[in-house]
Amino acid sequence: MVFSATQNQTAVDLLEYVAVSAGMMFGASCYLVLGVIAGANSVRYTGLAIAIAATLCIAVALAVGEMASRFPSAPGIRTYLKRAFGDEFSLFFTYLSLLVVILFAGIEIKVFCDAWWPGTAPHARALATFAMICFLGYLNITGRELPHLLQVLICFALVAGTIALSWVAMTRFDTALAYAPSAPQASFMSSIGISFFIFIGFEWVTPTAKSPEASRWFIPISMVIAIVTLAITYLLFALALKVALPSSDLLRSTVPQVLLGGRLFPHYGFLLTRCLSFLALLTILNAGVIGASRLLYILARDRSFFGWLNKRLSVLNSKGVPSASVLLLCGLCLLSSILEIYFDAAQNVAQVCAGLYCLVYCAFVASHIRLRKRPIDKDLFRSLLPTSLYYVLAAILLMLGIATFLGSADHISTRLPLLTLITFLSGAAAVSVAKSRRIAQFRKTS
Amino acid sequence: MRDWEPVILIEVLNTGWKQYLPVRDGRITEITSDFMDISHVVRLRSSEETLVAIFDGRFNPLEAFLNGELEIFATDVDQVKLDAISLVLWGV
Repeated sequence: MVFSATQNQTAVDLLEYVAVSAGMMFGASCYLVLGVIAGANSVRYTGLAIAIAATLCIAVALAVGEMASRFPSAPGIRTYLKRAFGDEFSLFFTYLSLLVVILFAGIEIKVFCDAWWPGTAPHARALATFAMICFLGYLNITGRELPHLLQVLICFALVAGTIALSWVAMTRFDTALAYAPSAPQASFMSSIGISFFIFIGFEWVTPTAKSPEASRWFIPISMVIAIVTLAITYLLFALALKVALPSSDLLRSTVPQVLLGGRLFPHYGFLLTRCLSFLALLTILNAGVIGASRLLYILARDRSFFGWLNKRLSVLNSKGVPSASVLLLCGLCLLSSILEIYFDAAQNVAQVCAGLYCLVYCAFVASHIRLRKRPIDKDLFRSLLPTSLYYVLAAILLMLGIATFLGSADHISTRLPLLTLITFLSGAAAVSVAKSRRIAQFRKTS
Repeated sequence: MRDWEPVILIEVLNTGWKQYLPVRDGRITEITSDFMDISHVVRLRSSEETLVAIFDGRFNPLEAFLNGELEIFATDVDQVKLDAISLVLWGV
């Protein structure tokens, strides 16, 4: 069968959107979280937790897709929430999501260091982290990014490599003899909540639409395809972990993929899985830093920070790159990584990120419910789910977020202060910036 | 703006009206309803009311973009250049 050039281009475009969406979700830290979920639950509950989180994320993705279709090319969270609930609400959750991205980057780099340089002293890892982030900053400031085709290939290699590793584990070990959790580690609700961590980021594909038609069809469909693909990948990998490694190892290790690789292929398994970790870091940092620095630039141009910061962050260099935004982002990611290296709190920070993002998705769903009530005179992508179901979904996401924060009693003294700090910073910034914008607007019109 | 020569396509959503504004040597050389070479195109789409308000100077295009009222389909480089133009012409 011969496909036309248009059909080929359509397929390539769709693959690209799927790769961006999946690339934003699948990081090296996902292996850590899958290890935690698998270590804390039986096979059945591990599978259920991931499947339920994926299903809820698909419902959220359909809502986000409908909003992306209503506001094509708009910068996602900032626009959807602002149009639904106003400036403060939008600013609060935008700052929250940016802070989560910074924490997420810190976890990614920490896990990457654990994979490549296990057992090295924290200051050596901090130095390596500094070098990596400087290099990443240099690439971004000079306008270099991975070509889209390479992004697609890397994403494909990462998914295929993970599935292959899982397949080998499941054929080599008897799946009926999967290790049971040594003791109940966390509630099932919090396991579902922390499973959200492995799906964080699918919605960052929405501003990348190249055409109105892409916003209407490709973006919503690509998010669903990406979530389904990764859900299958994660399920297989979690099952592989259950059959190959004891639960105590899974709960302790930040790099279960390396342990699995070493168990399956004693001679070259460590290298293979480290390469997987590298691919995961590459795809997420490439898309994440670029996307987040552009969002920072847009927010600064919209005067969404304080006066002097707005001026600095909205400066472009000769390559058209918001260099100050890139530098600020890299600096904050460096700080986050170094703190996580020294405090070794990756699992707890991941739990906080997952809980916070449950609330961010709750805000997305609430905005979708509100916007659906407003008529619009253009053809839109419509989620087939009724509005009443989205009310239920919003309530579930809120409960999941709270359950994830509380989780097990262990290390709650780490999670609660971090959660309080992030929420307070976001809330205080949102209120003060919105107030100063209203004052500036009043002065302009009076 | 050196070597930046796109065709800016302005589309009005509620009427279907389209105008092409080719940019050559840093200037808009013509405004036409038809144009052959659209290999490098920057698409701006909005309602008639919003576009009139923008080009009247009453509405900042960045604010319109952030409110989801102005759709811009262009490469990242082109979006940055458009933003630089809006900063000069419409201000902060």
